[in-house]
Amino acid sequence: MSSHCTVAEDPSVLGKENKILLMGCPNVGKSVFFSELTGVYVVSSNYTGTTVSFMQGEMQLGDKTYHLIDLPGTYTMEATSEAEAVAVRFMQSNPKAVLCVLNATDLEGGLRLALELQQFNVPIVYALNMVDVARRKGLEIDIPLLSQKLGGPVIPTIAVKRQGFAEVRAALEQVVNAPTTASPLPPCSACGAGCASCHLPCLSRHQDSTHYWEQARRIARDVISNVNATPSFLDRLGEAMMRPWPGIPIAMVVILASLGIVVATGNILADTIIAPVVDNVLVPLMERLFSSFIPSGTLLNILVGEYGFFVISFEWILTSIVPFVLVFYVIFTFLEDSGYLPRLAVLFDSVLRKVGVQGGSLVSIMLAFGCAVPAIIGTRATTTRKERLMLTTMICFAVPCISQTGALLSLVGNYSLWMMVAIIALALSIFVLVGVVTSRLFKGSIDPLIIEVPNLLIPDGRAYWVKLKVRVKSFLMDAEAPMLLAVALAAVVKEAGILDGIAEFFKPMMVGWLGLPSEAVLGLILGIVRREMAIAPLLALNLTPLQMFTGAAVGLLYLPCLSVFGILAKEFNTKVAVGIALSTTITAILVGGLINKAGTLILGLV
Amino acid sequence: MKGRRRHGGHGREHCSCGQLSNLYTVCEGKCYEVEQVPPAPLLSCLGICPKSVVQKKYRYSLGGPVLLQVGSREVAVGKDIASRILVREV
Repeated sequence: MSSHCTVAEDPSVLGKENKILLMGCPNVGKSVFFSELTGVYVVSSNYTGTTVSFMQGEMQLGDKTYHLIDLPGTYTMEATSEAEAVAVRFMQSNPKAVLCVLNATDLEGGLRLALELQQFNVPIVYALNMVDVARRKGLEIDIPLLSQKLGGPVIPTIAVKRQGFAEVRAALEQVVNAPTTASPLPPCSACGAGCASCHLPCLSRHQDSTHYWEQARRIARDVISNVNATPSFLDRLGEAMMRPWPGIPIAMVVILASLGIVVATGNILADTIIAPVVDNVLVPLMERLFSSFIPSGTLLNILVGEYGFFVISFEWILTSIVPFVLVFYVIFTFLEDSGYLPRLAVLFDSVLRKVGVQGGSLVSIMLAFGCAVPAIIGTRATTTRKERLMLTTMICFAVPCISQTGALLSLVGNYSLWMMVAIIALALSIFVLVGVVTSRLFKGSIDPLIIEVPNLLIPDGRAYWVKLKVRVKSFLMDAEAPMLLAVALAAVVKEAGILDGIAEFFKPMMVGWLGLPSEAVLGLILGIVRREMAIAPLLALNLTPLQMFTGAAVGLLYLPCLSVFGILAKEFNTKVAVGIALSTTITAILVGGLINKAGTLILGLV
Repeated sequence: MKGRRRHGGHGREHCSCGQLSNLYTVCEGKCYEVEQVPPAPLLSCLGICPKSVVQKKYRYSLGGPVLLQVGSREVAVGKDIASRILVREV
């Protein structure tokens, strides 16, 4: 099945024939439907804001091909957010059918949206997802009655276990091939047109939110019967995790354990598997290979010298960065798919409010530990520009991406655990300081937290594995080219002797102010391309503990990488991108220098 | 933990049968009918609108949010909004 996807909003997609829209509230498992029906694997998550734009893929029904459009999760069609506005535009673009995914554990919310969708007079197939979780919670749903009440087919599904998809396809095929029988809705009292041709302000005049809720509750009452169910271990654990006690201690344990696993497993992977292969097999192989046909000199040095491309690309990328990236994604994807992240957002809302943002921002911050680019795109889910700008600035300043964390761990983690703790404390202090400063600097307000807490789940093995593969693959695809570019730049600059001239020019700053060897300027050059490359060159230098800490601090705070700069310019404007780049660089040099001076003073006294 | 405590902040938690009170200060563990909500569209999207019944599960310390059970959905609402939602105990 051929398929493709688009993440940018493209008006031409609106005009396509044979569109089937995939709709539903956030957290209902829509993205799994999309992946299964089209074969396009997207990163899905169970918190609001994962899909900020739409995705499209091709789906075969019988002998016809349809465009399945996965729209952002929406609670209503009132166009109160950009995601809802996109959904409304698509509903008005003459789709063939809608596949509306309902959450069996929260039927009322889904029904409310379904009732609004019915106003557009488009054939709808309802997929009642998570029926297994609903049963576990003691909810029995009368599906034939629900189908009758909604006036369309209702298919019970368990998306993560891929149950019910054949029936969904069959039902979709039936509705798209059926002659249009839906009768036009009564004309609007205000504009005289049918609701399907009516724009939303008009729609909202017909029936207000309360009316839809009343209708949804009535249907839910009629079709749901509660059977006695003993709460499962997961239900009780999910409940305990939400209570202030023991929820907050559990959260601390989860965060520290996650960090510990990333550090320990990353180090074990690097030391026992990757480093021996790199040092004993790959690098000697490259050296033998190139020296067999290239004479000694600059070219050979650029390829396999001390800083040669085929030496440092293995040593820096494979040994120091990739193991930590892999383990981080294993842990993060598990936490994300289990529904734990929104729980953290609730538990830490009061703390984040003190910093100036709200608990919901924690999801973007956690994402930023993977990579700042999706996290900055994810800040679209914030409700005010001030919050978006603040969050973006805080991420750029003090949330290291996983590659950068890997490089930091390789630099200071191997030396001392306490130095690692000190770096974390520094990052936290800068994070708080940037929050406090920007909350005063930027005009506007921050909306309080309003967040739905999803069920706690054990991620389905296949869905988890597919998502992990997509994540790691996209990391390798997106990051590999800039990393190799940085490595090539390093090889040429160092081995061709250009570095000495640059190092001499920056000597007063590097040696005089930061107390680092003048060759460390290589990090500042490479850091422009990739964040971790500001730190990686320091690994090869024989640094004192103070130099190590200063270098780590500079690397932590230094310039966001080229990809982040690009996304800042795209999501905001060049002024914001330049402003953040300048302020992070100045802060990095300033803080690094202060650490060096204070450290030198203290060591002098001791 | 139900029906007792708490520290200052925006207001002490109290039980007020039949009285109109704000959601932030009313007791935990009880059900309330919503009378009035501030203009925040997401609230009604999540089922918190006039005439709906919500259960206040917990209030988090240091000015944290309140956790509500709305039908079969759990929703957390920040202090600033919760203290502007007026409810009556049912």
